[in-house]
Amino acid sequence: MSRPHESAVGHVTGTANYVDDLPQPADTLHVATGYADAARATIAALRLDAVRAAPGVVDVVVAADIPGKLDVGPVYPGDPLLADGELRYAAQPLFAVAATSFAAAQRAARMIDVDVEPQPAILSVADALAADAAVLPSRHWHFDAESAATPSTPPAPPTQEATRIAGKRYIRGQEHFYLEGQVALAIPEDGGELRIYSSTQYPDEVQHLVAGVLGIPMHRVRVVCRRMGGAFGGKESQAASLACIAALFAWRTGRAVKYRMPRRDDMIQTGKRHDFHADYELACDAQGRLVDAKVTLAGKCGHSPDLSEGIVDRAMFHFAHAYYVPKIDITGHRSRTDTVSNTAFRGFGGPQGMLVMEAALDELAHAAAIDPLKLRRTNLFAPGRDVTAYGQRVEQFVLADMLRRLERDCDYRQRQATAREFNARHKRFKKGMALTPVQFGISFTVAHLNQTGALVHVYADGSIEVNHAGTEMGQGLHTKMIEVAARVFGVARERVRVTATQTDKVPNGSPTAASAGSDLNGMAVQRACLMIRARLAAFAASQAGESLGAAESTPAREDVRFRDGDVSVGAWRQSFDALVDAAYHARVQLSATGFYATPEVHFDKEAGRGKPFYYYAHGAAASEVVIDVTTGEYRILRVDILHDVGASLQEAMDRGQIEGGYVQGLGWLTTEELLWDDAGRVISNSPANYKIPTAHDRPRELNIDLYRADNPQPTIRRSKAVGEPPLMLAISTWCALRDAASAAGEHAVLPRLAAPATPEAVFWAVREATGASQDAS
Amino acid sequence: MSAKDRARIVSLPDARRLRGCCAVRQRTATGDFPIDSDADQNSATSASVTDDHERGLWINADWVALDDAPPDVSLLQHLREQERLTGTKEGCASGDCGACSVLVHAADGGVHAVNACITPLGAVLGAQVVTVEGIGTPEAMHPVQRAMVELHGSQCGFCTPGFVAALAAHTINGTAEGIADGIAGNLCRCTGYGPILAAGRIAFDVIAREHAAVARDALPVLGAAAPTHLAAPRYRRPRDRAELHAAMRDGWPLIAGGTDRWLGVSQQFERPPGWVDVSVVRELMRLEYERDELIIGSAVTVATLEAFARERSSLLTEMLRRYGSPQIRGRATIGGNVGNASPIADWPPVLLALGADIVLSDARGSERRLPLAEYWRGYRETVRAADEYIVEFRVSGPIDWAALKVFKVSKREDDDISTVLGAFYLQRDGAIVNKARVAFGGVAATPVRLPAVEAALVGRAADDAGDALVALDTALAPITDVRASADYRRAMAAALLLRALDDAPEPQTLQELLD
Repeated sequence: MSRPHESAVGHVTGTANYVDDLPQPADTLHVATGYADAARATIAALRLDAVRAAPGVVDVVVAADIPGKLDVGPVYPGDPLLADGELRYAAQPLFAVAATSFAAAQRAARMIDVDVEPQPAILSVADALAADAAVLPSRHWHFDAESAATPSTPPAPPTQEATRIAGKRYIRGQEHFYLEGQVALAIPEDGGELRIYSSTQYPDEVQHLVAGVLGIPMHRVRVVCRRMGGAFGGKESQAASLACIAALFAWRTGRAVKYRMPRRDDMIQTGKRHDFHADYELACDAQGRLVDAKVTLAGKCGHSPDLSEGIVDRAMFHFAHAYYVPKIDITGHRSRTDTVSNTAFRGFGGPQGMLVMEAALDELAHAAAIDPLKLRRTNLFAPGRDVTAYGQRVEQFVLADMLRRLERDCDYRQRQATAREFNARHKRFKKGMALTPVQFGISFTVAHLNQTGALVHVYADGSIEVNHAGTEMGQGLHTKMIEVAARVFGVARERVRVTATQTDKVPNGSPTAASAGSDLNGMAVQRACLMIRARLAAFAASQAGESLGAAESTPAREDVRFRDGDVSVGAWRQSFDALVDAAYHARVQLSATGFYATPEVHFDKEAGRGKPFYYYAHGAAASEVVIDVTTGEYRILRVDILHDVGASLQEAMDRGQIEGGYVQGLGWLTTEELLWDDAGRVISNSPANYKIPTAHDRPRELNIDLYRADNPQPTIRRSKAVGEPPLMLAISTWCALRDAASAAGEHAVLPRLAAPATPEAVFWAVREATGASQDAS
Repeated sequence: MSAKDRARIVSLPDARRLRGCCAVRQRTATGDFPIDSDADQNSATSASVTDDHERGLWINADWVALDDAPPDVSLLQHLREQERLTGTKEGCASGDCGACSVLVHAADGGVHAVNACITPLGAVLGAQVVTVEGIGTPEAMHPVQRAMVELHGSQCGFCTPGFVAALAAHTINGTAEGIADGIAGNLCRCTGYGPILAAGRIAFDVIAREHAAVARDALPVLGAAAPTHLAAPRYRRPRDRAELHAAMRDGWPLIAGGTDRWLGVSQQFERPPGWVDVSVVRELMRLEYERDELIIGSAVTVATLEAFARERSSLLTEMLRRYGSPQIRGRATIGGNVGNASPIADWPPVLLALGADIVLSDARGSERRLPLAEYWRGYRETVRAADEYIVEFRVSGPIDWAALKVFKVSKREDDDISTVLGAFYLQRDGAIVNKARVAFGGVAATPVRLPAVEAALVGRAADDAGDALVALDTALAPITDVRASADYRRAMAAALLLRALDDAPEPQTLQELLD
C-alpha cells in the first residue's frame, strides 16, 4: 500500500497548522476592506471619518498611501491594490482598515461613505465582443497540414467533406472554493525586514509584489508557506494582494497584521475560472475523418489581464484536443468585462477549449450518424497524423490503446445495450453514456517559468531536510519529494523532512501550477541529493579503502551503494548515520542546491508555432447517468477512469489527484453555477447558493485504474504530471447527461445542454429533445 | 484499562472518580469542581435563569469557567481564539461547509456534530464540547482518524477535522451504509470523497470489532460531564414559558438553533445586547398528540422530527434526509424554519399540506391560534408581532400519512435550499380525489397553499388534472434568481403535482428507482 500524505496525521488530529492557526504576536491587527456595489464608476467622494472613528480601528489606507507601486498585476499591469479614482468591478476594495480584531475591522469597513458616478459597464462576453473590449490583443492561429508537411510526413490526401456542423456554446466559469480562504500574516522583523506567512502557490510573486508595493528590495521580504488548505489555481496570483495589504499595515504600524478574507469577500473579490463563449464549425468526410475546424474562443477575463493571456492561449491549444485536424482556424479573444479579474483554475483554459471540441464531436457524430466513440477514435493523433494546430508534433500515441482498454474493461458496449433497453422500458427515466479522452499539454507556456530550485541539507545526525520552491496545497508534492530524496539516499522516508517553502531558502521559484510541481521540483531535489550523495560516496569509498588496508585498491565511488539505511561498497558497510557523522568530522560538505529547467520547450505566441509542451498526459473516462425527464434531476451511476501518470512517483497521491480532479470537474459541469446579476455583482456568493459536490454527488460507482507506461521524456523517474488533467475526465459525464436528454426524444435531436448541466439545464435539454418548446427565454 | 472498563467508569456521575480516571482537569477560578454530585446536577437543572450558578462548559476533558457568553461570540471563535484549539477550522462561517464541526455531548445524553461557526457560545454552556483535539491525538488516534490516514482521506487537510468530527458522530448515531448522509454537511474540495467514505466504513468495522459496538467509547474524553443547560448574563436560557416571558423583558432577540439567525452575527457582524434562547423551553419542545391533535412545539428540532417521520412517511423522511445536514438538523428547529418567513423554507409547505394551525404567544402568555396560511403577509413579512413568539403547530384530526407526498427539487441533491418544494395531501376514493391540500415553497414571495388548485382536483379522477394545472399556473408568481429561473420553477410545480397524483406502482423518483 502507498504511504500516507506526509501531513496526514497532522490533518486528522488538527495539529497541521494553516496561516490562521499560527500563534500570532501580541497586538496583531486584523484587516478588512471596504467596497462599493457599482460595477464601473468614478469615485466622486470617499469619506472615511466614520471608519477611522470606529471602535478598535488603528489604521486606514487608500491608494494614495501606498509608498511604492500601486499595481500588483502579475504579468501585465492593471490590478491596483486599492481602487484609484475609478471602480473597475463591484466589490473592488476602495480602502483597507486595520483594527484590533477581525470583527472590529469588518464592522469598521462597513461604515464606508462613498459617492460614485456609475459609468456604462460591460458585463458579459457578448457585450465585450460587440464593443471590442479586450484586456489584451486577440490572437489568431491558422494551421494547414499541407504547409506543415515535411518530407518524412507527406500530407494526407485531401478528403471530401461529407458532414459539417456549426454552433455556439457558452461555458460558465467556476469558483475555486478552496476550503481555506485567502489569508496572509505579516510580521515586522529586524532592520525593516518583513516575514510574511501567506497561503500562496507562488511565494516568490508575493515577495516581489510586497517589495514593489513598499518600494523596498526583495531581500527585505521573506515569504513562508508551509501548506495551503486548497488552492486549485486560486492562490497563484490572487494571494498576493492580501499579503501586500497586510505588509503595508505592518510597515506603517510596526505591528503584526493578519488579513483573512471572510468567505463572502473571497467569493466576490477574487478571480475565478473564466466563462468562455465559443463559436465553432467542424467537418468530417464520409469515413468520419475530420476535414477542418474553425473556432472563436472568447474568455471572460474581467477587468484586467491577470493570467488571461496564458489561459486563453491554453484554451486555444486544447481546442483540437486529442484529434488531428488537417486544417484549423483558431481565434482567441481576451474579453474585458467590468467584473472581478478571472484567474488560474486547474486546467487554465484547457478544459473550456476541450469541452467545445468534445461537444462538437457529439454533434458531428449525430449529424453524420456515426458512433461518437468511433468518431473520436478515428481522429486521434497517430503516426503521420501527428501535428497539432500549433505545430508541435505529438510523439506518444497511447490514447487509442487506452480507449480500447477502457471500453473493454468497463463493458461499455454491453452496458450501452442495457441502457438502450432501459430507455425503451422507461418513460420517466432515461440513461445516457459517453466515453471521452483527455490529452493535456504539460509545461508552463511562459517558458521562463519552467525552472526551479531545491536546497537539501544532511544534518550531522543523519536526518535530512529538503526544501524546494514548490508549495504544498494538498496534492502531495512534499510526499513525492520525500520519496525522491529517500530513494537517492536509500533511507527510510521518516528520515526526510520537507520544510516550509520559504523565499530565503530557495530564491526565484516559479508558481506551483501547470501540473508541473513534481516534474520541476522532483528533478531539482534529486539533483541536490545526488550532489551530496556523490560527496558521501567519495568519502565512503575512501573510508572503505582505508579499512581494507593497502593490500586492496580504493573502491570506486560509483560502486558505493545507498540502500536500506546503509552505505556499502564491496564487503565494507556502514550505517548511513555513522557515515554522515564521520563525513561531518572529516569536513565533507553536506548541503547542496539543485536547479532544473525544462528542456526543449519554446513557443512563438503571435505566430502560434513552437513546442509549448514537454509532453502530454492522457486519460479516458466512461460515464453512465440516469435522468428524470420530468424534472431534469439526475444521478451519476457509474464512471470508469483509465489515467496515464507515467511511472507513478506515489500511487496514492496520483489516485487522489485523479479522483479529486474528476469530482471537481464534475462540479464545474453539473451543480456549480457561477452567476452575476444585471448590476455586475456575483450572486453565487456563498456556499448556500454555490453548490460544489458533496459525497452524494460522487458517482455511485467510480473505478479508477492507472495506465502503466513510462513517460518517454526523461522526467523524474519517468513519471507524469497529474494535477490538472483529471479534471477534464468529467467532460464524459456532461456528454452522458446530454446523451440521456437526447434519449428522451429517441435521439432524433442532440439537444443543446448548458454548462454547467444543472437539473434545470437538463430539463430544458429534455424539452428540446422531445420537441416541446421552452416557455420563454 | 480496557475500553469497556473506561465506559463503565466514565458513565458514573461521580466527578471525583472521573478526575482520577480520565485526566479531567479543572480550570475554575475557585478550584471547586463544578458538578460534584447527582444532587448538584439536579439543582443545576432546576435553577432559575438568573441563578448565579457557576458558569462554563466542558471542552474535551477540561471544565472551562466563563463569566459570560458574549452575544457575538460563536463556539468556534471561543475554541480558536480563547482556547487556542485551532484544529477546528472556519471555512464559511455560515454552516454550509462543515469545516468547523465539533461534537456536542448534549442534554439528552446524545453526541452530535454541530457547526461551531453558527453555534452561539451561550448555547453550549454546561454541555461538553469535543473538538478534533479531544477526539484523538497523534499518539492516540480515534479509529476514524486512523482510517482517514491509512486510506488517504485527507489532501489539503483543511476540511479534515470537520470530517473527523462528523464521522465520529456518525459512528455513534448512523449506519455503515449511510456514511454519505453522515458527511452530507461536510465539503471537501480535494479528494472526491471516495477515500473519506471508505475511511468511514473501515472505522465502523474497527469500532465494532475493537469496542464491542460502543462507538462512544472510542472517544477518549466522552462522558466527563452530564450536561446541563446553563445561562449567562447576556445569554438567557429559560426552561419554561414563565421564565421565557421574564427573559423577554428587555426585548432581546429570540434564538433557537441559530442555524439561520446566527448568520446575522457570523456574516453581518451584528452585536445584539443579548439573546433569549428558546431552544430548551419545556413547553416548546412538545412533540405529542393531545386528544386528536398533533402538537409540534416550535423548539422541536428537525432531527427529532426526522425520527418521528421515519415511522410514518418515507417521502417526508427522504426530504428530511436532504434537509440541511446532520449538523444543521440537530440544531435547527421547526419554529425557526417557519419563523424566519423564508419563501423557500422546507417545513411550511409540509405543514400547510397537513392543514396545520400556528399558535403564537406574547410575552404575557396571551395566545392566538390561526391557520398557518394566514401567517405570512408578504416577502419575509408575517403577522407575528415584535413581542410574540411561536409556541407550536397543531394538526387536527387523524393524519393519513400515506396521503402526504413531499417532493423537493434542488440544484444539488444534499444540503441545498429548495428550488421548488411541493407538499401534497391527497386522499382518494378509487380514482377520484376526495380531499386535496396543495402547497409549495419557492414559487412565490411566501410559502403558498393553493385552494384553487385543490378545488380543481377534488371530485375528479387523479389523471384529470388539466384544470388543476391551469389553476396552478395562474396561482404562481415565481422569480428568477441564483437557484433557478421562474420558468423552471413553474414547470417544476406542475411536474411535482403530476408526480403526486400519479399512483402507478413504478418508481416516482430517482431515489426510488435506484433503491
